[in-house]
Amino acid sequence: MERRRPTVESHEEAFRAVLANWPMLNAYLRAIVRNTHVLEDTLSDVALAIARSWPHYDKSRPFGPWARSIARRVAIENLSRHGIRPILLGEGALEALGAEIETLGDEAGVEVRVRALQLCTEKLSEGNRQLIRLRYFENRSYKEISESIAWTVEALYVAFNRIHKALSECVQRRMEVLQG
Amino acid sequence: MTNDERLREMMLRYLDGGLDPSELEQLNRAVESDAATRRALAELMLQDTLLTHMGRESEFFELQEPAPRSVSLLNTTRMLKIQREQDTRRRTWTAVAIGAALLFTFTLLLAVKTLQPGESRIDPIAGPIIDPQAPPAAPVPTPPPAVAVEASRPAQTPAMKPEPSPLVQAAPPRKTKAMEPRKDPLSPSTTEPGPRTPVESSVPPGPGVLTEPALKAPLTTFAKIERLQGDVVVLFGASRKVAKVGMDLAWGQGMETSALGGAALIKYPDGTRVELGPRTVIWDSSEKATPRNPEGGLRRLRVMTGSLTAEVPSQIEGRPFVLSSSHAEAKIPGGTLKVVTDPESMRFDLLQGKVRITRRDDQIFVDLEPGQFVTVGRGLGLDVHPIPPK
Repeated sequence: MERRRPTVESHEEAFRAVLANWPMLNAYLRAIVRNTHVLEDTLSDVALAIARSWPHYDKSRPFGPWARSIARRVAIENLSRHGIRPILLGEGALEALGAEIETLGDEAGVEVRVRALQLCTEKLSEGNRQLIRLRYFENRSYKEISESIAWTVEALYVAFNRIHKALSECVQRRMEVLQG
Repeated sequence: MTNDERLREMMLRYLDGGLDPSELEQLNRAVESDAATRRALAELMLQDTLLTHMGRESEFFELQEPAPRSVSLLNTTRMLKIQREQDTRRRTWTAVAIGAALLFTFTLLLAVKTLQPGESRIDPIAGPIIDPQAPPAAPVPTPPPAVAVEASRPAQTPAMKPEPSPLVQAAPPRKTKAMEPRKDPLSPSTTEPGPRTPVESSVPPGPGVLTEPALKAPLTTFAKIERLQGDVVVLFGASRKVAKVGMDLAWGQGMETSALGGAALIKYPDGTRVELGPRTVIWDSSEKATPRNPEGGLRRLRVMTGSLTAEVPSQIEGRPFVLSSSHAEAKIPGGTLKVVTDPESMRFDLLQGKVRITRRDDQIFVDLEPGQFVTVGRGLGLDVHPIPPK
């Protein structure tokens, strides 16, 4: 098979596709890579791997499944390079999840979702916002949070579980309003 | 705990990497066979991603000003202060509105009483004392400012904004109480009658958070845009916004310059300047600042494509400025480095100072001297060459 080389134009086209699907790829990779730094490296490696493979991409087929298969391979390679043993759902389950994430919104849909999520997060109680801040702003693991606020990790899982559920329900309602 | 709750907890633990093999198998089966579980986990994964990105936005957590106290404590204090101010303002305007309503009622009563004795409506023209416009005129100037001020308060969310009618402002205090911004409509205790809200549960939250040592609020931006040419956008996840001179770039954001002469100059707080050429995409992937490390860790800029020149002043030993790509990583303790990417390779030209270039595939590195360049890519040796004269 003739090996087609990527060009500057194909590179740019690939990056545009990656950027348009950034939240989907990011969320998908989170189910494979947990370490923040490895995740960021992986995201850009995935972008480049997609750009390299772009000349071979059959554009009549959907971008999502093709990109996710590359993302999964690159992520597992990166984990192994860092000596991390992956604890993963099966390939079928991961792909089903990736496809499901894709249905949650295109580029514009994600914008609306972010807005809704901001509004909903502002409505959380001070304590819940504190937990969200520790986890997502300070990027602390559940274990670190549990040590800093003297809770058990199990109690934190329960708390975050409820926060996420409440946020999901609120986002759903808000999105309906925001999207008219 | 219900089955659904157990499954949701398993999802969180999966994303945290804490599931044992039997639980992993259970979750795997549920994801493959149950659409609702799949949907819930997909939503959680996306929510996790979006919250992480939102967390980097300074205004979201009101952490713009560094302060020498625990950020957790600082935030709580700041939130309480804002809420107190809002309460005070609300009380003031409620009092003004009630006063206006009382004044209005009083004036109305006075007018009615003045009308009753007999002069009445039969001869309004003849009655020189009674001005039919007078009663409503008195209270009108007072309530509108209350509405205007309330509506323009930045700290309030749309849901918390008062109704535009001044009469609502003048409603009894119980009505105003229902619009309190501190109310948590999402609190599980209101949506789920059984269990209490997790944060307000049996676990005492206070002391844990306050046990932190004195910390500074972390920086939330990494550089400022100094100069622009052509079309340049700031990238944030899938979002793009037009770049403007003077704009702060938040941690984790990127930039893209257009192919048609787009260029940009960004400046870091320490004086590091990075000039982007046309058709360039970069992302910040620095180690994020935290209360424990308010200045942030290693500063790293990821070059996805295009070309740039970085002028880096001397850095603290052991903390070089890092330019990275999928091909290689350049550690600059101080100097001027030009980087040009190609789909299959990346070229580094050192104009002055020092730099170490490490190939990512095998971690082999070379140290460049000023006036030397190296190209890193698939199937290429890590050979150092002199930069040809122009």
